[in-house]
Amino acid sequence: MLDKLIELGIRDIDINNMKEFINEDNMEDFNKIIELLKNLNCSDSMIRNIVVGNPIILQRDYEDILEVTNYLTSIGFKNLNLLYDSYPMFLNKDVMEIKDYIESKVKNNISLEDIIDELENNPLLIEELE
Amino acid sequence: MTREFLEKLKFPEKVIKRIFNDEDVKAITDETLYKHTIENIKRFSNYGFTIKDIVIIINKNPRCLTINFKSILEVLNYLESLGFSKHKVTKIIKLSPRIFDRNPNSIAKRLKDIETLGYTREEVLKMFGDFSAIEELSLNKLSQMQKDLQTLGYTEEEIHYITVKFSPLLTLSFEKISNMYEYLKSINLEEIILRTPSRVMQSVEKTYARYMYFKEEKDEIITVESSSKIFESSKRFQNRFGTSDEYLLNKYPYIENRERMINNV
Repeated sequence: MLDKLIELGIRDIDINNMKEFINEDNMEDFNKIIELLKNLNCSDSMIRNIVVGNPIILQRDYEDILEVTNYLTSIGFKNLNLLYDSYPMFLNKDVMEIKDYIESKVKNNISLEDIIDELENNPLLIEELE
Repeated sequence: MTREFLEKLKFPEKVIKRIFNDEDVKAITDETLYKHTIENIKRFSNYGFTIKDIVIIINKNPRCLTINFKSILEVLNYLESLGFSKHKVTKIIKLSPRIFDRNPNSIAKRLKDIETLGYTREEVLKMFGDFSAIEELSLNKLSQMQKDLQTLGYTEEEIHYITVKFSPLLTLSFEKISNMYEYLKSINLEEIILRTPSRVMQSVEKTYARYMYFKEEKDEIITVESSSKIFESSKRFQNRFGTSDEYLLNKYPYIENRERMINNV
């Protein structure tokens, strides 16, 4: 996994800061996740940002991230590369979490189109921190 | 026993599988797990977490079902002792369920460590309350970000201001921040980051495409004062200007500009 991080062009200093997340057993999933990000038109720079900004991705299941990505696409999100680049931790969300957020907004009479628009513009809203 | 209980509570199968694949869960007997599961879910619920919240937390940290609720309550009480309301504590936990892997002393130490980077206690608590995930970042990472930001020419005071005002910036890669800064600087808009640090979240690709749209198609040079229009949501942008981000991203690919910038250097 270390080799892969170097191959992606991630700085040594950043790799050192994410060592606790490195899980060699998850190498296959990590490779698939990187391919998925490339298929979403993530540039090399975006991929580095996503991995450095969210090192938990090194331990994530590919299937979970694929499920989230497919779900977001199915409900109308566009440019997921920009979304994940803006807030790499969005990739830690599960479909049920996103559905939960959307349902709570729909209950407040916000249209799905507007919810997506707000999230694309400020993905941090998914955390409902206010 | 535990599986049936979780199924009864309508935990998704995927989450149940994740629980039973967890090393800490595997290390205890089903009887012990069942006891903790009943107790912890009941007490999470009594604290104010919804069942959906509980599923989300356990999905991200199945270890919550293997520990005594007393340890969990100590963390919750500690967070309240920092001045956060119960409602805020539930939000913090949902964002950072791994916080239960630590005890109040280790959380206090992490927060204290952040103070050593030049922040006051109040500022650390504001940053943590705004975005609790910063507590998971190593001191090295935070310190490195401060050093990296200095290489862009920011003073210590400016870095302090930017990171307190928008703490999620600390989780981004320096490369992303640097790309945005360099691009904004090339069009004399770098002041935007000091004014509204959260602007660095927007991808440089979109920022470039929108800036070029105004420059090339509207004959308008965006200034700091008029810059909010390049940070509008896609829908508002399309409604106001009649063009979509997809169209602009295709028409003005940032990568070509990036190559030009590098060649000019």
